[in-house]
Amino acid sequence: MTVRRVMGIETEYGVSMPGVPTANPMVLSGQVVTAYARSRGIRSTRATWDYATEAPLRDARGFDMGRDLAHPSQLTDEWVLDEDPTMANVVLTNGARLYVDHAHPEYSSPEVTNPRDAVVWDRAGELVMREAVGVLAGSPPGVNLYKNNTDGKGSSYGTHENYLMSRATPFADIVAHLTPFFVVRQVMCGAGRVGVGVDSRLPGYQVSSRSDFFETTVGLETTLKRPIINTRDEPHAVPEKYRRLHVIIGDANQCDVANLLKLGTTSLVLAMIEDGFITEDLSLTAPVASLRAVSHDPTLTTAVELADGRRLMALELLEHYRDLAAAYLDERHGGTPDEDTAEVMHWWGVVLDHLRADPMSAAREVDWVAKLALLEGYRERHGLDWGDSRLRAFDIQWSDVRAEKGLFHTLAAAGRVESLVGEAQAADAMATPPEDTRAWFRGRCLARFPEAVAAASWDSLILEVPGQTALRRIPMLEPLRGTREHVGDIIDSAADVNALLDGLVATGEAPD
Amino acid sequence: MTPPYAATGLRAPRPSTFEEDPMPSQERSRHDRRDDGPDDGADAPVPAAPQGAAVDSDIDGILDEIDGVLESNAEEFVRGFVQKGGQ
Repeated sequence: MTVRRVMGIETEYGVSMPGVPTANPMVLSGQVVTAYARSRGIRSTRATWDYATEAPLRDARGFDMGRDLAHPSQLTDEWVLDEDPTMANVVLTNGARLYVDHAHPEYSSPEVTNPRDAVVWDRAGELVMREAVGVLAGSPPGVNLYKNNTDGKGSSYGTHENYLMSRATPFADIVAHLTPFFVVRQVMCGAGRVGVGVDSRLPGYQVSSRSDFFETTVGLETTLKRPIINTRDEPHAVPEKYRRLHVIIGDANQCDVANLLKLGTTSLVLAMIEDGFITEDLSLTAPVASLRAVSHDPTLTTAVELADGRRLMALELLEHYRDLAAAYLDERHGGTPDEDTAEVMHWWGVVLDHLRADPMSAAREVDWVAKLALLEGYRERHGLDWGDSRLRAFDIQWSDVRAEKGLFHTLAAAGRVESLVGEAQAADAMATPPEDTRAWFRGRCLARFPEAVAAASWDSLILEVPGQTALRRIPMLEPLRGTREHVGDIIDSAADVNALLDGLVATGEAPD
Repeated sequence: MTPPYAATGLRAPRPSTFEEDPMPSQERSRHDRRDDGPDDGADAPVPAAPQGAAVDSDIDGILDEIDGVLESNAEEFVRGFVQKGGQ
């Protein structure tokens, strides 16, 4: 394999009502979802979520956690769908899911097949949130949203990646070869953070916004005792064939290049693991402590210790993974990979070279560097210490989704950030699904027959067919079926939902 | 779409510097930490900015803009940004 595989990004946004810190975040999050749904004409009482196949307590190591042992926040399949705005949950015509996850509005991107498309539909999610903020601004004081991962006071919320993998790959191999990579990849895709420690008790700046919140190496939890490798085993696909690797350790990126590298390099490392290409033991003696030590050192001179006694800088270990990937592509793909893989390898080289020469020279590509460069300028201009609340305010406002308020957007508008995805392309992706996954079927059915879609999930669509008493559940357990090529004409040419079903059955896309 | 550099293909792998010891011994103390519990920052060093973090001249315009949009009461703004933990 190359960088190409089925993947996606889920982002929980920070949410606040200006001047009202006591506002209920679940209610605010519900307002965000409802505001966007209404502004786009999506009825949230329709297009709800089908929880039939969700199994959040299934563990990739081969056992189920008892429901009575689970923290209530892990029971993501038990939510009652009713008129309660805090349960707002809609499927968008681009195939994404927009809903309230715990106390945050979350945008889960549609399934895509490559890192560039992951960036496109993640950027679309930012615009979805921006539009919701715009709608809510009509009712002062409105609601503001932040693409970040912590309030700096002890709370963190996630940006998760998902990668479809072969079920045949032993989970132990994933743990062994991915853990060291996850400890060091933050130097090229960390979002940066003002403050050290979960509650920022020490002044300073660190590479990653999430690293302080990880407490263990492997585990099922996502809201407490967060693990570097998450074992949630809900494939949302044919379970005998596929595993969905649910990655919870990443930061929310705004830089396209860092975001592309986060998805692309991880996909390449997974490809090497699936193909048994990594034979060397790169495991670390203390992954969690190393994760934090690397994050706490923006000079990138801190070493991590390998189990065999070697001590390497994070950058060196990352360069080693890059060299392994280059050798893997040469050997297995004749050195002529597809354009998605070429793009990832290009930027992987550029960013590592910049970080190696002078970390600050990666300011056009990497969030934590871009933010630090600007913070240093701001600090110098106003003579501020790292403990100054203006720098913490700067950090929060860096991720404000509004174009006129978000400091990242100020920097990007000045042309100081490398852009891979144009604004028009991201805006188009707010309502258009990726063509080459089942997201096409999901999103296009919602666009064409919104009244008929009773519920949807990642791997099913439930249709209400006029004249039939029973709902029709259409399983979508193959993520690479239901593409535009498979069902585009059927959806476009169907005059009504009966004709849609007839067309799907006739072509074998739906069971009779 | 085809990225303009797609034709550049792969970079040649560089020789690994794995056998070298990159760190002077005095840098190592920060690794001697226990590998459990969330980080309260209690024993972390105050980080320094990397060398070369000096401000370039044309950043002034951006800083002017930031001065214009940054919340005027930073302390209150920071205090008011309270989130519940998520996943």
